[in-house]
Amino acid sequence: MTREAYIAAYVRTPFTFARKGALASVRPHELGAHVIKSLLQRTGVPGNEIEDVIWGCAFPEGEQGINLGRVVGLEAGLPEAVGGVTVNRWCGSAIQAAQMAAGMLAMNAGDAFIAGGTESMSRVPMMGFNLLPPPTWTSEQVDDFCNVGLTAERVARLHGLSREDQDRFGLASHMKAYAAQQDGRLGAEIAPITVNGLVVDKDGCVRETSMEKLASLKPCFLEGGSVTAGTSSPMTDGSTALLICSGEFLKRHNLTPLSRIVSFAVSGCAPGIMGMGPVESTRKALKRAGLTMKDVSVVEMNEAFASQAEACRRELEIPEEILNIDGGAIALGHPLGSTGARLLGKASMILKRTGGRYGVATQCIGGGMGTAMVVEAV
Amino acid sequence: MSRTISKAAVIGAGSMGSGIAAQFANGGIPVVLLDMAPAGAADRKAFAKGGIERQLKSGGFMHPEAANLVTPGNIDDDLDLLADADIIVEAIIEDLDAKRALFTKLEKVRKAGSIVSSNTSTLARASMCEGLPESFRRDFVITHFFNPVRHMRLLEVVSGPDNGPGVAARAALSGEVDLGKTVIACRDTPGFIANRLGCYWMAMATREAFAHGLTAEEADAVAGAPFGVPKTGVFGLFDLVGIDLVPLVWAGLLKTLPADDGIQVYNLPDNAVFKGMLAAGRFGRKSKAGFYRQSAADKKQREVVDFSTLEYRAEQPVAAAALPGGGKDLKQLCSGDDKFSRYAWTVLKRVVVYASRVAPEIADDVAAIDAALELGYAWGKGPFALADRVGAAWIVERLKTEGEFVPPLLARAADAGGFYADGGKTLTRTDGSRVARARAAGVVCLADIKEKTAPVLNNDSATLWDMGDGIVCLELKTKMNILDNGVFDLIELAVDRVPKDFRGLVIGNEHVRAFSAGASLEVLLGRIKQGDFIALRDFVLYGQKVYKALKYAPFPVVGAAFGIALGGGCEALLHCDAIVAHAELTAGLPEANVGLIPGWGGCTQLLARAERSARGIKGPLGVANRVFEVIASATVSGSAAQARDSGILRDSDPIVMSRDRLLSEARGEAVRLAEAGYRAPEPTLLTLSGPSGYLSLMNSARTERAAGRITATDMVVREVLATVLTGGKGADPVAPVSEDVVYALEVDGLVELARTEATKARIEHLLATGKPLRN
Repeated sequence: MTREAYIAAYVRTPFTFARKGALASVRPHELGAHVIKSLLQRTGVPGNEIEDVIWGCAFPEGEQGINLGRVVGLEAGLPEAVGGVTVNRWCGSAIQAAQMAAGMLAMNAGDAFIAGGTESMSRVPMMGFNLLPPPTWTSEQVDDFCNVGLTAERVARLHGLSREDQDRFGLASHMKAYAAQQDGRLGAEIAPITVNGLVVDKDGCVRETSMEKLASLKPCFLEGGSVTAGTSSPMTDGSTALLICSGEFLKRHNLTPLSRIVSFAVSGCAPGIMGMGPVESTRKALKRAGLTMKDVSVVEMNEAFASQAEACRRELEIPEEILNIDGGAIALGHPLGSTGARLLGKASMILKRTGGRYGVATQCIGGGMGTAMVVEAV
Repeated sequence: MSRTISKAAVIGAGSMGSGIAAQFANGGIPVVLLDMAPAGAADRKAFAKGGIERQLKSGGFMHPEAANLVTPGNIDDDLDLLADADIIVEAIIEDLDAKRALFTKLEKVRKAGSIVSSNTSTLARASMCEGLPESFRRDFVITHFFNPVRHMRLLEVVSGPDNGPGVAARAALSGEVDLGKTVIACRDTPGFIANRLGCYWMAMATREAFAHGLTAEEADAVAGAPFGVPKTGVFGLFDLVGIDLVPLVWAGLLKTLPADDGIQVYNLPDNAVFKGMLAAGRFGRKSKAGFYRQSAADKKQREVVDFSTLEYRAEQPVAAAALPGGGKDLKQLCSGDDKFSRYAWTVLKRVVVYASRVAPEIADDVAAIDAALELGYAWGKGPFALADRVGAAWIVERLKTEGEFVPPLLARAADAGGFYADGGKTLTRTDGSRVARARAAGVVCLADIKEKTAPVLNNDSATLWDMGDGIVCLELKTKMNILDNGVFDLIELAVDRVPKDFRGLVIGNEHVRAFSAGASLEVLLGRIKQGDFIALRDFVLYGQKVYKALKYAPFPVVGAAFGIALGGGCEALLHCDAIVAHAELTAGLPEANVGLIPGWGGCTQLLARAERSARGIKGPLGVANRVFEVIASATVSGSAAQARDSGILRDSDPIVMSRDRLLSEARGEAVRLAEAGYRAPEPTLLTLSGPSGYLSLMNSARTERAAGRITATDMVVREVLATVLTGGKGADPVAPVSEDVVYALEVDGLVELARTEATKARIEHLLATGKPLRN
């Protein structure tokens, strides 16, 4: 009963700085509904043909509580008959949402799914309002799980990444994103949103910088450390949606797919080096696809921190020129539960643009995990 | 007393206009702020919005949210917004024609009976009214504010014979009640009161310094602190207000004041030093160079202008101890024969003689003039009170010896033994007659109560006064109103006594700065040094016992909070049924600065308040987290509105703008609570997050520590604080517990911290330097 799953469309809000950015005043369910509406408009798919809304969110409490997946669907005007579920694998939530859609398709439990995610880090802080870890844990265990900045410092030390190495990686991310924005390569995926009468249609975190500016920043997690605000992804507000469907559905609605989902993997590692998660998950996903890194022409790897992203790049022997071609999360921002869908959408778009065949989207996950998905151009 | 107006408007969004608008907003009054529409700009409200921004940056608002009460606009498009304003304050440029043109426009839109006022400091009311209709003149007064509006308490109000009945009184009452100002009624004379004397003093003291061959720092050392004048002195003050004002303000006064006025002798615009400073663009702090400036090479080094060369040289500070009289005894300082003494005597006699000469022209009584200088120029004592301090007769005697003119008012005061008598109860009118001091209606003064009644209870540390209406007032009288066993003794007696003869209690006093500075650090340090932790524990337990007795007393307890209310002083407030707070309230629990945690129920009651607060974040940790942040970071409020953010004030606690009316408002609140059938609160239960919450709070602390933002001792304090706020090992959020659990943890935690060397070092350092030690 196995069926192929296709990524038929990808759309996101602009990503903007938490609290000071243009989307800070927008409730998370409105961000989510906005991208779902836009996705349906762009594809012309009627809402009643959607089986389920599978929605990532890393801190599903407060305004992101009460099953955000259900709320965003209703708010977007989907019929009541369409389902909604919230998926939480922290930073890996939206990639997991895509996997769940593909899995449901494979077992013939529906023809079309909206998979994506929302995170308003303005309105629900990272770690939520009530961080209550198991009382039996040691302080170190809590640190490893929750203070991801310190895990980035540890990865930098273990992999011998100097401050300059990280700054150089950060600069590349900023410059790639800046160039992409200037060239208009980010516009197609963004659904402009009107906030308090003003149209927000550009990513708010992207800025031009230099090695000098990056070198002047102070370490923000560890006194005497090497990880700075310039080499970390910023707190971000944003939402992303993908339309994932079967081949028959594509034909029925005359849709041109962006890519086909080939394989998926999740893997675990020590919480204290959570940034290395992508290494094992990517290896597993490639193996399941019968591929090696040499077969891959696009990698979209989340840049939680420059140290972990660069360390993973080296471990996986990813050529620099295929990694995060339009910039990564250090420059674009990282709305936790939404990012995975952006990576998938972006990898698929770049495959189309460059004529490549295989793409990988991968992320590290707090608490010590990695997740990866392989897509193929169609 | 509630607000006297419902809506205000200010025209002119410069620093004064926007400051006045911010102060209306601080008082909770919606206000329209208009300025011109910038030529050709897309945003036609840009100037007014800029004014709001400026006040947000400079601290003119007591809380950023107050800015939401200010509606920006421009004079061309938004004049209709003034239609329902009760008071319209004009604060545009000092140009007679521009002002008159604006007033003519206002006449067309303002509602009948609204007050129009001008914030002019240089124009006469009569000239501004000229040619305007009677309907305008009836309602027009001058309201002269001082900069920065939020912090300067003086408001000069000038009315005229053509004002309608009650107009000046309404403007004054609004200034007092709505804006918290001390209002001085002035006559329509140049510079009114404060600037007439203040500008004279500035001109005289600078030119006399030149004449006496003093340097700027010498003149400021003599004319500053020994006179009770801020230590900026006179040259420092010019740097502060801007030397570029000289051609406008001082030249203006020379022009408008008669030829025989004392200021004509001290022409500043003509003076070579001032001319040189202006030519060089040295305007003071605003141009980063004035009579003083910071050395470019060394930020800590100040440089001073040499008057003969106008070149900068390193500052040579003058120690107060080096002055005759040690810089404290003004009479002795004035009596010597060196250049300092000759200068001091000249400044004193000139200012007292000038004030005595012009007083009959500008004010009704000497207290108005003294208050204007005290509030407008921050003098410790105005010129007449200063004369009394050294002796009016002594001054007259010396003037006679020197063959100088003795003004009649000064002569009469010297004969009568001073400008004031009976500790200030009797004062001199400017016609030389004597009157009894009057209080504004609705103002309750403990000073007056003390004259009329005997204490209900009394000991060395505190007194209980009958303030009328069945309410007693607990007054602290220790240094800075610190809390000691004597205060607690009296509270215990009061809790016993009140139900027998009274129906409510107000905790309040009339100290100039402090509601209460908290526990005595000297006493704590003494116990620590003796190693007497049993006595320390007993002291903490005693405080908890009496505070709890206040909270659960069968009568309402109202705190009249003002000035600084820190540590134990703040904890007293946290046990009150209501807090009536002066808007400028500096409240907080900064125990962490000395390596301690609050021990008199501060942790417990802040938790209880946060748990019941409508704006509290839900969840077992949300409450503890908020309290943890407030206490761990030693947050001290910059206003009552900020104390509300910290959870010290409840949303229901009234905030009053007028410091003078605080006690009467607090008494009113106590009466209201008593008459509403007051019953003591039910015992408080708290939901505590337990060890999991502890881990979580400490996780955020460890994050701060790793990044180097807090110290090792900060971590120790946070560990203890986190234990207290989460209820210790046994706590579980599904089982709320009595607040007594947290009270007990506070005692243990405080004593545990007191035993550490780091805490001892912090207390010693704070006592020695006044600054927290970051060990």
